[in-house]
Amino acid sequence: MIVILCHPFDEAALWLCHQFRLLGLDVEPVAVEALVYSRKIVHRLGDLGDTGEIHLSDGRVLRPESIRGLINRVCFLPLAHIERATPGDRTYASEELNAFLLAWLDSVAGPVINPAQPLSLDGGAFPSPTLFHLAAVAGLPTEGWRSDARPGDPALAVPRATQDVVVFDSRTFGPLIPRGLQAGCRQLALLLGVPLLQITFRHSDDRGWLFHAAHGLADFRVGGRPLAAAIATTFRRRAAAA
Amino acid sequence: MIVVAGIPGERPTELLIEALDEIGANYRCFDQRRHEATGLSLAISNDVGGGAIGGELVIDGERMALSDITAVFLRIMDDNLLPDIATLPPGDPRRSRCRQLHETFLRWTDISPGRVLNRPTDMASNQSKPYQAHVIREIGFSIPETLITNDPDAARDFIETVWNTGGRVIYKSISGVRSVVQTLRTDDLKRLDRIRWCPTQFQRYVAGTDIRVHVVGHSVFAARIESEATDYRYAARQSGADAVLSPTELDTTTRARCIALAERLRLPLSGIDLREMPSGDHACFEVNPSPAYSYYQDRTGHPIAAAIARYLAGESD
Repeated sequence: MIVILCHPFDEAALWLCHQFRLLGLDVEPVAVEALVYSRKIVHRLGDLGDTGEIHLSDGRVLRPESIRGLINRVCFLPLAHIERATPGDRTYASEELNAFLLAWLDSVAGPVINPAQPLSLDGGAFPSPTLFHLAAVAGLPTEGWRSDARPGDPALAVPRATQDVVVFDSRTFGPLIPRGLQAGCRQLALLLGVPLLQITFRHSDDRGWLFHAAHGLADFRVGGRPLAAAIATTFRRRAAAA
Repeated sequence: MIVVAGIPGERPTELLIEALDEIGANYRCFDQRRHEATGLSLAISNDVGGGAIGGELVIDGERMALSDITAVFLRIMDDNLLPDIATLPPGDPRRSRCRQLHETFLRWTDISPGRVLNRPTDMASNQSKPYQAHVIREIGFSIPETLITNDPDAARDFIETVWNTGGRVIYKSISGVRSVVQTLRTDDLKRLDRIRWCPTQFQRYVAGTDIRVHVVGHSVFAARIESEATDYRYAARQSGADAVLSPTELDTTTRARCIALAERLRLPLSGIDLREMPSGDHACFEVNPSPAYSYYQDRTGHPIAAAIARYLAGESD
C-alpha cells in the first residue's frame, strides 16, 4: 500500500492520489489530522526494527512496516485536540507529538518522499541563506540574499513573472527551461538531499531567470502526469526490489 | 579566528575559554547577555557557482569579516529567556532585534565553511529520541525495547510482560524536553489513563553500568558512572547518594561505533549515553549535541575542553 499523508485541503496531494489510481497503484490518502488524533497509537522499537499500528477513526489501521511508499505532506502538526490544555502542557504535548511523528515517518518501510527532517516534518523547508548559497553553488543564477533586506524593499516589490519547475529523482518536470538551469535545479536537489524539490525562478530584465525560492512541498500539478508517473515508477521499482 | 557563542560564565563555555587561552588561540566571545553590543550582517552573493558568504560580526565595536572566522563553538541559550529580554512584550523592538541577531547567527553557522561545534540543523536530531534511536541502531548499538503509545491497554500489556519476566519499566519524554527518567511503579498504573492525551514512551530497563562518552572529532573520552539511581544525573534525589565517575577505556568496536555515530549524525562534538550490559555489549540511549561536558571533566580529569579547543583551532581531526 502507498500512503499519501496530507492535510484535507492539500489539493495537489489529492490530485496525485487520483493520478496514482489511474496508474493502477494501491494508494490510500490519510489525513495528518486523523493520524495525530488517533485514539490508539502503538509503536514499538527494538533491535530488530520498528512495528506498530495507528488506528484511524474510519477503521483503517496504519502499520509502518507494511507501507510500501509514502508521500509526506505534513505541513504542520495539528493540535486542535489539546487546545484546551494549559499552555505548559500544550507546549510539552506538541513537542512530544512532533518527536513521535518524526520517528514514525522515519520508520516507514518503503521510500518516503520527502523524508521528514528534525527541523521540518515535511522534509523540504530550508532557511533562505542555505537555499541561496546552495543554489549559487549548484550553478543557478540568483538574486542574492541579505539579512538586512526587508519585505518592503522597492526591489522586492516590483511584480515579476515567475516560473516553477519540479525536480524528482534527478529529473526536471514542468515548463521547459534552459538546459543550464535544468542541470542547476537537479544539482540543488542533490545538495539539499531531497528527492523532490519545487524551484521558483523570477524574471529579471537584465539577467533573465533567477533563482528565487525552493521547497520540498511541491505542487505535483506543475510536473503533471509525467511527474506522477515517475513517482509511481519509483514506488513500483522499490517494491519489486524489496 | 574562533568565535565562542553563549554565556561565558557557564561552566562548559568557561572551561573552553580557559583551554583556548592555554593554547594561545585567537578567539572572540559572542556573549548572549551582551547582545546589544553585538551586530551581524549576512549576505549571500549572486555569483553563479559560488554563492559567497559575506558579512561581518561586530562585537564591542570590533568588526570581523565572516570570511575570517574559521571556527565556532555554540552553546546558545534560548534568547527569549535572556534576563533583559524575557520581561519585554512580544512586539518590543529590542526583543525583535535580539531574535533577528540570533536567527541570523544560527543560519550563518549552518552554512559557514569553517568548523562548527555543532551546526544547528544537525543538533536537531536530538529533538526526537526514537528518531535518533533509528540511527543508533543502524550503527550497531543495541537500543532498549521501547513502546510509545497513547493506549492504556497496550501500555499495561507491555508493563506486565516486562514485569512478568523480572524486568523493570522506565518512562521518559519522547522529545528533547529535559525529563527525569523514572522507574514505573505499581501506583503509577492508576494514572495510566492520562496517556490518552499524548503518546508516552515506556522502555524495558537495561541493567548495567552507565558509560558517558564524549566524542570530539576523532578523540574519545569515556567515563564510567556508578550509581543506584534510575537517572544518575539526579542520583542524590533518587537514591540519596551522588554518582561516582571514573575514567574508563572502551573496547575497539564500541569506540569505533561512537565515532561513527557522531559522524553519521554530523555532530563532531557529542555526548553519547551508553550502558554496559552484563553481557559486555553496549546499549545506547541517546546522543547529546550540546553536552554539558564540564560535569564529566571536573569529575574524571578528562581533558575534553582542551580537545575542543584543539579541534576548533584546526590542530586535531
